[in-house]
Amino acid sequence: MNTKAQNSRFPFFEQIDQGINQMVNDLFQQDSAAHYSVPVNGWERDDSYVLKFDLPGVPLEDIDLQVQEGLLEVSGQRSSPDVEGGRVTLDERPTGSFQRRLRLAKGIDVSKVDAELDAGVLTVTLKKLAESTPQKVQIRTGTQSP
Amino acid sequence: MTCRSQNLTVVDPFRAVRGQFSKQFGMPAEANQGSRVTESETEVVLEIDLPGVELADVAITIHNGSLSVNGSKPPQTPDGGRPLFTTSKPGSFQHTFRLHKSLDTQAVDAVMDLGVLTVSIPKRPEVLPQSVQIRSAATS
Repeated sequence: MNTKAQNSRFPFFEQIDQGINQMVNDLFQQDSAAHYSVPVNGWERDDSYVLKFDLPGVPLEDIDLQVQEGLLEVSGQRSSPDVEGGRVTLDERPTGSFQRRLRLAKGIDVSKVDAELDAGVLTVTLKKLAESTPQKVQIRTGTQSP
Repeated sequence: MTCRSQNLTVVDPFRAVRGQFSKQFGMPAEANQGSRVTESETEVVLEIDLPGVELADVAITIHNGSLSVNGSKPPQTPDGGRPLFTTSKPGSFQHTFRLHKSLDTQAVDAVMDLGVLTVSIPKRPEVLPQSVQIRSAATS
């Protein structure tokens, strides 16, 4: 669902708008019993994008990561093993199947994606294409020949 | 959801306030999001989701019959990274549980794996079910 404002002259309102967007999306994600939403943080570096997904209690083999032109999808299953001879008295953990889709910016080299799982956090590094990274230009003085 | 164990209860002084917020605005009503408590005949097991939290950043203390899990999730900013969006915030967290007298606080075991902290609290031997040998009247 997208409630994005057309006018981006006011970044503050855009931030609020993004927040409302997130809340609405989270609400609908919670309502649909099929998937639970995975919290994710994202950063941009000069040469890459870094995404970190919170996936506690999910082993590597139960996570599926797919990257194609313009779209990244993390999905999988978190199982909740039964306790032998015991009973569950409180369960606030999200379990079952999860999914998170992110639209990718242009200029990402989908052949160079690195993914690492550590302490319940999946870190995905997406390299930018060479032409998308900032190039340092040497400045010469007027007396130097080009 | 309330914890149905008599041996371990969730300590949450803001429960009433959160319940009201939950009713009015549909916000999450529980403080212990991401935790599970299971109870067997011999022990109570507490599992808490702590993704991205290092072993050194979490502490478990038992005091006056309460077990607290305190710590903080460090910011995960990669070198030279400029934030784009955040849905999982770093910062401190606390989970507190009141323990029943039948639990043996001297023999608590805690292990961290895949971003999940598992705390096992055994029941005292004297509260465990015991089978009594029945002898026939003929034996002394």
